[in-house]
Amino acid sequence: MQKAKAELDATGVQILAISTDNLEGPLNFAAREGYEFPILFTALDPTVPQAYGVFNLFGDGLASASMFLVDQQGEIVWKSIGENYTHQIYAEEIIEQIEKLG
Amino acid sequence: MGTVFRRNKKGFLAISFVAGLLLLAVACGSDSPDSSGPSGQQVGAQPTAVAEQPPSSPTPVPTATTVSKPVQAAATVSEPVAETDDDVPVLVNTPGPVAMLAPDFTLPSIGGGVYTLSDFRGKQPVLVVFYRAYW
Repeated sequence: MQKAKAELDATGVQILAISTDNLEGPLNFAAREGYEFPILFTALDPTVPQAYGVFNLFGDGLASASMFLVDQQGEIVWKSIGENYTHQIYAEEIIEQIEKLG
Repeated sequence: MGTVFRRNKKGFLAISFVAGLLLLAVACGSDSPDSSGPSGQQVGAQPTAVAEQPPSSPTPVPTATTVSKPVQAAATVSEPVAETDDDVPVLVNTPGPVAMLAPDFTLPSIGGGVYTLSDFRGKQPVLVVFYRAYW
């Protein structure tokens, strides 16, 4: 994901990463990977992932790996919801969708 | 005399209605054994039950569709078939919204500060990413 950061920055999109892990996971991960976009945490409160319909799809109490592209009107114009553990979303696909916003 | 005649007319209508129902019932009973032997009695018993059920419990669609063929063969009631026709489009045709308002949230960031999704409205698009630690 970090590799795609520069390409995504060029599109002017704001990335908000949301972790539903406990705090230790994303803290260590962000420090290790040097993420430059905000990593938000839910502190195990499932309200937000539930609102997006991605909570506990695998029965492990975590959010599924998913992305939602929200346009400037606040509407979800594209989404990719992880249906398995190895769900992959490619940066090219995301950038293509962002460019559709114009 | 006129009133008696009217009563008789009402009585005649009621009797003919009941007679019609009886004829239908006999028709159902006689049709199914001819078509499918001994097991046809069970099939003949099911359509009448289904004809009573739809108003109270329309949910068991699969059973309604499987039993609807015997009902058509007996040509007694067309309503169950019409109801399944109404139900099927509802189940099959589930158009997803092209654009849906993203649920707003305000969450703390591990780097400090709080982010609210709607703050970006009218400014720039947002890619909301739910991630897992190993992703």
